[in-house]
Formats: sequence, C-alpha cells, structure tokens
Amino acid sequence: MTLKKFFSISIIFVSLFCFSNSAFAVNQVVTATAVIQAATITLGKLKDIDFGTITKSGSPGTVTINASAGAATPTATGVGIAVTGGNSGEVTVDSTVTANVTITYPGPGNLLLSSVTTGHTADQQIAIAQFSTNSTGTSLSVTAGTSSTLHLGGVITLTAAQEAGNYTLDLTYGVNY
Amino acid sequence: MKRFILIFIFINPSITFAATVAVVNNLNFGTIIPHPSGQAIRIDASSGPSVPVLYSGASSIISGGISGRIRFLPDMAGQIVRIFYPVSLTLTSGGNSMVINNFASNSTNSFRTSSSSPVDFYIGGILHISTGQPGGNYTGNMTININVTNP
Repeated sequence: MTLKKFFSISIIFVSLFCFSNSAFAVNQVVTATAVIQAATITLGKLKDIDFGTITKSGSPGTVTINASAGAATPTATGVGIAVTGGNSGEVTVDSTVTANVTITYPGPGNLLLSSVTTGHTADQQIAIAQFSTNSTGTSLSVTAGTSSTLHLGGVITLTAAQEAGNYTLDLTYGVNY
Repeated sequence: MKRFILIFIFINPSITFAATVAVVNNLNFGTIIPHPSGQAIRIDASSGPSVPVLYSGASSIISGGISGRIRFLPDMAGQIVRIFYPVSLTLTSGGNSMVINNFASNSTNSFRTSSSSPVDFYIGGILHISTGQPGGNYTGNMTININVTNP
C-alpha cells in the first residue's frame, strides 16, 4: 500500500467514524408542582326551628312543620290544639366546589321544659322526630360561590297533660361531601 | 504511519457534540380545589403551551398553572430532536402523593431545527387527584432525555 492510498483509507475511516457518532443525548431535570386546597363546606344558621306558641286542650296531639318543599309554618293536629307563629329552621350551605352534599339528621329526641333543670317527667318533655321527611332531604345540590339553604322541620308530640312552659332542645345536623 | 496517527488524534475531538438545554418554566398544575370524589386534570401541551383543565371527574376549581417549557439551543439547522419522558411521576407533599402520567401524549415529542436559533418545547401530562386528596403543596422532579441527531 502506498502512503497516498493509506491516507485515503484513513480519511474515509475518520469520516465514517464522525458520522457514526453524530447523535448525542442530554438529560434535563424538570420539576412539576400542584397545590391542592381541600374543598370546604360552611354552614350558617339563619333560623332555629320554632314550633310557635301552642294552646293545649287536655288532649294529646302533634305539631308538624313540613319544610320538605321549602320554608314552612307549624300545623297542629289533635282535639282543640292550636298553634300560632313559628317557622321552619334555615341553614345556609356554602361550598368551595360544586357538588351534591349529603345531609344527616338527628335521631328522635325530647324537648325539655326549660324551667326544670333535671329529672324531667314525661309531661315535662315533648318528643320530636321525623326530621328528614319534613326537611330538605338527605341530598342537596350546592354550587360553588352560591349559598344553598337547608329547610328544617319535624314533628313534636304533646301529651294530654303537657305542662305549660318553654321547651328547647339542641339538634345537630351533618353536611358532608 | 506517524502522520496518520497525528491526523487521527487531531480529528477525534471534533466528534464531541454538546447542546444547551434550559428550563424556561417548570410544569405547574396551579392551585386546585378538587371535588372530594377526585378527578383528573390535564395539561395538553402536545401542540404548544397550555393550561390545566378538568379532564375527567366532577367539577373542581383550577387557578393558574402552565405547561413546562424547555429551551433547546441547537448547534445547527437540521438537527432532529427527540424527547423521551418518564412513564409517570409521583408528586409528594409530606406523606401524601399524587401521580402525573401520559407525558408523551401531552407534550412535544420531536422537532427538527431550522436554524441555530433557540427552539422551545412544551411538557404536559395528566394529574390524578384521589378521592379525599389532602391539601398541600405537591412537588416532584423528573428527568427527560433529549436525543439529538445531527444532519
């Protein structure tokens, strides 16, 4: 092989060598981020449930607030029982996201005569029940940025010898996503 | 023979290539108030810069956020650049986590340089938010691989 030939082959070899290495790679680190804010529900009580002023008659009876379709007033059943005033309860529901929320209602309870501190007799208590069937229901659609309203009712049952006075009971409702 | 060796040594360093790659902005899904039942948020940057939108699931509130943007400085025109992404990335916040995947289908996968001017490419993906995902600042790092073939 002459020196000239040898150089020619060498140049070809070098050229091929360059071409075969004309690809390369680099790595790059990229950061990804996201901020999650948990959705929240805020409740605001506008009105307590008020069964009004009930005139007793010596007969048992019931007073119902049926707020299943919206705000309502009490109606009485029973011989000679009358009711004036009163209103369903109202609670506003605000959510940071649009969602259907589930409402849980209290179980049956007893309103207690306020003038007696302990040891209430049967006639010093008024049974209250049927909350969910006389209120907004167990599901409510809420829209982010818009207040929705829960309307709350129930049924109280009076004894024939119900003592006169103011009766109260604290009730707890739950609203969850 | 001695001449040949000298030439070879002289040429060999010229086959070392380099490219400059820099992050212009990282991938940011913004601030999300997710629906408690969870959902997926997508940034589709397959055809350019983009912002996060609800991809599946119930409504949520998304503010801010933008696709990742990487700047590639070519050595020459005609370079073919292929970008390879991880299959998924886990973002963490304390002991909590979320997953981003589908990078390849929501990002730039390849391009050809037409000059030596910088070229930006974009990164998106799908963020999966679980039911009851705890609040927090979630972050994670991934490595993308950029392959360059010279003309």
